[in-house]
Amino acid sequence: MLFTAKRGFHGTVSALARTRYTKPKPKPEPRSNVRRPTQETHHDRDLKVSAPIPPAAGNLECPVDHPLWQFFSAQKFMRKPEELDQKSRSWTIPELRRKSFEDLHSLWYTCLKERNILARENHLLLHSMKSSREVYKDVDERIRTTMWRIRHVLSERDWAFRLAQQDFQEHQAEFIKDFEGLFLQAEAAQDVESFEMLSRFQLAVFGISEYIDENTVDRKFVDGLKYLATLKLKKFASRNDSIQQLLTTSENKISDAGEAFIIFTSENSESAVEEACNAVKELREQGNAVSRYDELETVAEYVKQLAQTQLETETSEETK
Amino acid sequence: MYSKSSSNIWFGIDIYVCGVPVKYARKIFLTLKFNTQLSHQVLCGAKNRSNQRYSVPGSSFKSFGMSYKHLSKAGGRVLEQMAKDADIRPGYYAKLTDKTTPAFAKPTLPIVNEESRFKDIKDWKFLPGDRVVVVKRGKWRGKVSRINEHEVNTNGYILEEGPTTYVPIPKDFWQPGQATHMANIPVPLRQEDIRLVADIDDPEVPGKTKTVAVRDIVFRDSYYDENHKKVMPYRCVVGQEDLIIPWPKPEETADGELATEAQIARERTYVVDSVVKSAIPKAALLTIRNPKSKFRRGVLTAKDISKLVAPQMPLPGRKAYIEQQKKLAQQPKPTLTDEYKEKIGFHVFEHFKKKI
Repeated sequence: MLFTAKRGFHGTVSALARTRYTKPKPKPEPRSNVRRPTQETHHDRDLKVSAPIPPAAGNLECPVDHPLWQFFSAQKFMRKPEELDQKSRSWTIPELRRKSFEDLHSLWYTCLKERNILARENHLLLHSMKSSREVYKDVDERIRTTMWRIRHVLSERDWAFRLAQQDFQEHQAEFIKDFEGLFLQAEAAQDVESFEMLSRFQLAVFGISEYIDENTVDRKFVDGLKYLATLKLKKFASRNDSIQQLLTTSENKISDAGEAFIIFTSENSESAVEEACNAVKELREQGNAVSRYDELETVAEYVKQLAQTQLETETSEETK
Repeated sequence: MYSKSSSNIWFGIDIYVCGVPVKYARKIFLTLKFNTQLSHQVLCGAKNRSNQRYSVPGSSFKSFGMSYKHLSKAGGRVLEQMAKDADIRPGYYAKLTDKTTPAFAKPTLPIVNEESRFKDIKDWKFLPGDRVVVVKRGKWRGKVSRINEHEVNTNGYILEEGPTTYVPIPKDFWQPGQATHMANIPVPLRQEDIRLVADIDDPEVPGKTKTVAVRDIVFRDSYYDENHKKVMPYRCVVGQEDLIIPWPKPEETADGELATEAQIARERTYVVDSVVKSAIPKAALLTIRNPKSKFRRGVLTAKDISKLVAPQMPLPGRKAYIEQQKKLAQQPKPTLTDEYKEKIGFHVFEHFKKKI
C-alpha cells in the first residue's frame, strides 16, 4: 500500500528523525589521479613581500589621453573666474538656421562637453568649497541657451519639411510637367547644364541621389527611375533613330524596372544611351523582364552590385 | 589658504579672490553674501522655509547635504516663483549684512533688489568711458572724470578719479604691492550725483568747442553701433534733441575662448534640396521633440478638464459656511447690563479681598 507510513504532525516528524546517532559516512579513499590547477599565477612562484608604497601624488600616474580628462579644461582642477569666457554670447536662432544637421550635431556635442566641465567645477564650488557664487552657472546658462535653440531650429526644420511634403502633393504633377518642357526644349549645346538640372530635380522630387550608394530603394525610387529613364530617352530620341525606335516600341514609356535601371545608369551622352538601348533590346529578345512584384528586391540588388563595382574600380585606380 | 575655524562665507573668497583688486574684492564679497540669502529662498521648498529663514546666511548648505539640483533646470520656474512669493524680510537681512560685513566690503550705497536694478543701457544712461562731472555736494563737487565701471548691486558708478574711503583691508584682499592694512577704495556715486559732460561747438567763438554738462538725456531712434556690435539708441540732450552725444567706444578685447569665428558662423551649410528626403535623420527626431508629449496627445484628461472648466460658485462647502455666518450675524449682540456689571464687580472684590 502507498499510505502505510504513520502520519504525524510536521513537528513530531522532524523531532523523531534520526539525526544524532546516524552512523557517519566513511571518508572517501585518497584519489590517485589528482588534477593539477589548470592555471598557475605568479603568486605561486614569484610573489615577494616588498616595502609598502607611501600614498603620494607623485606615485600616481595618469595618462594624458585618459577619457576622464574630457571633464577638465586644459587638465586644470578648477578654472578661475577670470579664465572663463564671460564675453561670448549664445548662437542666435537665425545663425543656427543656416547650419546643416551635421554642423548642429557637432555643435551640440561641443556644448555638451563644455557644460560637463562647467557642471563639475560648479559642483565642487557648491559642495566642497561651500560657496554660493554662480560664476560657472552664468557661462553654463549661455551654452544651455544655444542648445535649446539648436533643438528649436531642428524642430522648425522638420515641421517645414512635413508641411512642404503635404503641400507638394497638389503641385507635383504640374511641377514635373514644367520641368519636362524645360529639359526637353534645351538645345544640345546646353546638355551639361540640363543634366545638372536633372540631377537636382531627381533629388528634389524622387529623392534619388547622384551617388548611387546613398540611395535607399523604395517604391518612390523605382517610380522615379522609370520616369527618369523615359525622360533620358526622350531627350536623345530626336537625335538618334535607334533611341526613337525603342521609345515608340515601348509606347513612350519605360515600365520595366530592369530596363529603366540600365538606361538611368548609362552616361549622359547620345552614344551611351544608344548602347543602353541596344542592351534593352537584347533583354527583350531574351524575354528577360522584371516582374512588378519583385521590382524592389531586384533593383536593390542591382544598386548594391553597382555600388560594389564602383568601389572596386575606385580602389584599383588608387592602387595604380 | 584658509583656516577651518573661519566661517563658510570666507571659504569661497580665499580661493578666488587672491590677487583680485580691492574694488573687485568688495564686489565679490557682496555677491557672495547676497547670493547666499537668495539661495535660501530659491533652493529650499515651502516646507522647510520657515526653518531656513532664521539661519545664518552661508550655513544653508549644511542642511541640504549633497544636492544635484543645480545640474537641471527642471522645476526651476516653480522655485523661482516661490522665491518671489516668499516674504523676504529686507530689514532683517539688511541688519544682518550690516553686522557681518567688514568696513572694506560694506556698500556705501544701499543695495537695490533685483527688480529695481538697472538692466540695459537706457537705464544706465552713462557707460564706462563716459566723461561725467560730480554734482554731489562736498569735496568732489565739480570734478570731471571718466566712469571706470558700473556697480551692478547698487546701481552705482565708480569713477576713475572720484570719492574714496580709507578703510582697513585684511591681508587676503591686498593688492600686489600693497604694504599696509589701510588703503583708499573707490566709492560709487548714484546716477543723480553725476552729469554727462560733452564738447559742443561754441556759438560765440566759431570754430572752437566748449565743454558743457548735460542736465539730462533722452533716447530717440536707434542705429547699429559698429563699436558695440549692436543696435543702440541715440543719446539726445533734453530740450535740444538735435544735439546727439555719442556713446563711448568700448575697450577692444579679444574674442572669448568659446567664441566661433564670424566667418565660420556665417557660412551657410544648410540648403533645402529635396521634398522627399528629410534633412534630419529619423533617429534624431525623438531627441528633438517628444511625440508622446501631453501637448501633442490630443486627449484631455479629467485633471485637464477640471482646470479648464470653472467651478460652480460658491463651492458646496463654502455655501454652508456662508449661511452659518449669516445666521451668526442675525443674532443680537450681547450688551453689558447692570446685572453683569454687578457680577464682575463682585468677583473683582472677592479677588482683592483674598490678597489683603
